[in-house]
Parts: sequence; C-alpha cells; structure tokens
Amino acid sequence: MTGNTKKKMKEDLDKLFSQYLLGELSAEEKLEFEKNLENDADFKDKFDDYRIGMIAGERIQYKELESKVNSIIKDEKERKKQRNLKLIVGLIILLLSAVAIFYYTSKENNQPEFLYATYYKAPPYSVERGNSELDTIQQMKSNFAKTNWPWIIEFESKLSASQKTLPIIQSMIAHALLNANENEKAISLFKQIANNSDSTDLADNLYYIGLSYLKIREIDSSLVYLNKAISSKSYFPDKKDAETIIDKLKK
Amino acid sequence: MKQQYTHTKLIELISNGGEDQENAIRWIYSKSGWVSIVKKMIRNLGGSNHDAEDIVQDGLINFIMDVQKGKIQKIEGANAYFIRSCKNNWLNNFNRKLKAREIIDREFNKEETSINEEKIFVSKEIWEHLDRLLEQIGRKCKEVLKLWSMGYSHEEIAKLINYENANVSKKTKSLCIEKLKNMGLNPDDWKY
Repeated sequence: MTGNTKKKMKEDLDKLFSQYLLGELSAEEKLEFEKNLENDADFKDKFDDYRIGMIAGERIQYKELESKVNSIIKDEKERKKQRNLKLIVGLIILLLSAVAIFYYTSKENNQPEFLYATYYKAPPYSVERGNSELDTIQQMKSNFAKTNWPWIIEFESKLSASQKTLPIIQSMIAHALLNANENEKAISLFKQIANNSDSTDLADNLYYIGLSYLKIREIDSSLVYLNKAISSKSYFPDKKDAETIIDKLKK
Repeated sequence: MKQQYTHTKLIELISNGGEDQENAIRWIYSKSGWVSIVKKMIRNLGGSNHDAEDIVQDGLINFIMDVQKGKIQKIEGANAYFIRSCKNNWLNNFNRKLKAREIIDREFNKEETSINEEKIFVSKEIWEHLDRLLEQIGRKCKEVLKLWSMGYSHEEIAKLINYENANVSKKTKSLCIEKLKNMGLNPDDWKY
C-alpha cells in the first residue's frame, strides 16, 4: 500500500466512523460495519480511538462554551438587574416628583389668595327698566355687569345722600372697591352694610367681609367673619363654600 | 430599537467565533425572545425556574455546537431548532430522573438492577470523571482534540496552533487519545 492510499484510507475511516455514529449508513453498510467491529480487532481499536477523541474533543468544546455562555448569561443578568434598578429609581423619582407636585399644588390651593380667587364671585345684578332713581341703579348695574369698577367708584360722588344709603348701591360700590384693590375701604363699607343688613342678606355680607380679609391675608379675621356667616340664621346660599374655605384655611 | 438577526446572519456570527459569537449568544439570550418561550414551556412542563435556567444554558451550548458542526445550516428556523432542542433536552432529563427514581425504588425493594440502568444512573459521575481526566492531559492535547472534533484537518490544526506540520498534529492527537485510554477512559460508557 502506498503512503497516499494509507492516508486516504485513514481519512475514509474517520468519515466512515462519523457516518456510522450519525446513523448515515445504509442497513447493509451498517451490518458490514458491525461485522468488522466484531471480527477485526484493529478496526475496533481504531473505532474506539475515534470515539475517545470525539468524546474528549466535544467535551472540551462543551466546557469552553459552558464557561463562555455562563459568563455571558451572568453579565446579561447583571445588565438586566442594572436596567431594572435604573427603572425602579426612575419610577421612585417620578413618584416622589408627583407627590411633591401634588403636595405643593394642594398647599398652593390652600393659600388665601388662591381661595379668594376661587370662591369670590361678585353678585349678579339684573338690569331692569324703572323710574329715574332706579335708572341710576340700572346704570350702575349695567357697569357692574361690565366689571367697570372705576366707573362705579367715580359715580359714587354723583349720587345723592339718600341714594348713597341704599344697600344695593353700597353693595355695588363695596364690590367695585374690592375689585379695584381698595380692600380696606371695601371691608369698611361691607361692615357698614352688614350692620344695617336685615336678616335676609346678613350672611352674604359677612361672607364678603370674610373673603375680603382673605384677600389681604388676614386669616384670623377672615375666619371670624366666615364663621359668623355660617352661624347666622339668615339665608346663606354660599354656606358650603364658606365651610370649605374654613376647612382649607385650617389645613 | 430591538435588533433582529436573520437566520443566515446568526449562523454566520456563531460560526465566526470570538466576539461575533459572543454577540450572537447575547442576542439569543436577551433579545431574541426565544429564551422566554423556552422558560415558559419548561414551567408548563412541570419544571421550576431553576430547571428552566439550566435548560436554556444547556440549550445555548448545544445550539452553538450544532451550528459549529454544520447541523443547523440545513434547517430553516434557528429559533424553532433551539426551542425544540431545549424541549427534547428537558424531556430526556425528565425521563432520566424518572428512570433513576424507578431504580432507587427497586433497590429499596431489594430487586436486581441491570447494568444499563446503572449506567444511566451514574452518567453524571461519568462526565465528572471525564472532566477530571481532561484536566490532566495538558493544554496542547485539549486544543488538538477540540479542533479535530470540530472537523478541522490536521493541516489546519497545525497552522492554528503553530505546529511544524500536519504530522505533528496527527501524532499529538494519537498520543492524547492513548493517554486518555491509559487513564481509564472507556468509550463504551457513552452512547457514542
């Protein structure tokens, strides 16, 4: 046998062994192969060597890959952990920010100026036709509806003494003063109206005094008048609002 | 954006080895979605989270080895191959455990145990024995046997590990196999 033939045979043997192990031989070839294993000791030795080499080689491959895969999996788990941690930290920050915003806003919502802006509503006066005295009132009502506060304040000087004592006119002037930021004058006028009020609109006037004090951040005085309004026996449509304001001011 | 590899690209990256292979493993483990399918499947088949982790790890190693052996080139869906091989691995493990339990029960009842059953029962010890033997054969032996089992020719092996020629590689391989044989490695302990 030449060297080349030997080499070829050896290569062919490896191929044959591999085909046998992978089940790629035909039934006939397989039978012949197994007969050789039984009868040819040299063939059996070579086959055993092939198997030992393959078992060892593949195990080495397996162990190397195992350590590589293990380290990658460990690394990926760590990355995932870090990502999750970042996500949790992010969520906590978001949650804390939301709580802070909520706290700040609710605190802001309890500020006197905010309460005043939320709850103060100038009373609606409907414009009607009437006599000359009432025409003056209609003019005022009309300007009141247009929130033309300077006009109303200026118009006061043109009113007669008797007109100036009319509660509706006093009330419109007081609201005009309040809206024009002449708060002290407004409070004084509201108090004057309240002193002369009959039982029907006493609570309303006390409520406006309370709101006026709220506007200038005199909370104690505001509370006194709001409480007075609530405990007054007169009809008081804004009672619920007054209670809410008191509640928020106490917070 | 979630990166996607085509079947061909993935096989190519794994076959390239090195960093490409690492990236492919990372992608399969974290981004492909295959692992979560396998984990869910193992849990549905009665396995724990720990079992699922083991199966995934083993599945990844076998998948890469099968790619390197060229087994997956012919198959269309790499994902289906990975998932199926993990499932088979789990079912084989499950059967092995079942068999082991039967043997323990029989031993407890003082009944005879066949040699084949014992073989299955001690398979873990055989692998550990092999690992101990491989630790003793030296780095060069390991390298030659590994490359040869991966299908490299002796000419290629000689080039890769700076041997003078193919004969040196061939001789080294024979000596290493002889060494393992002398240390008591018996190929009949494996299905090979």
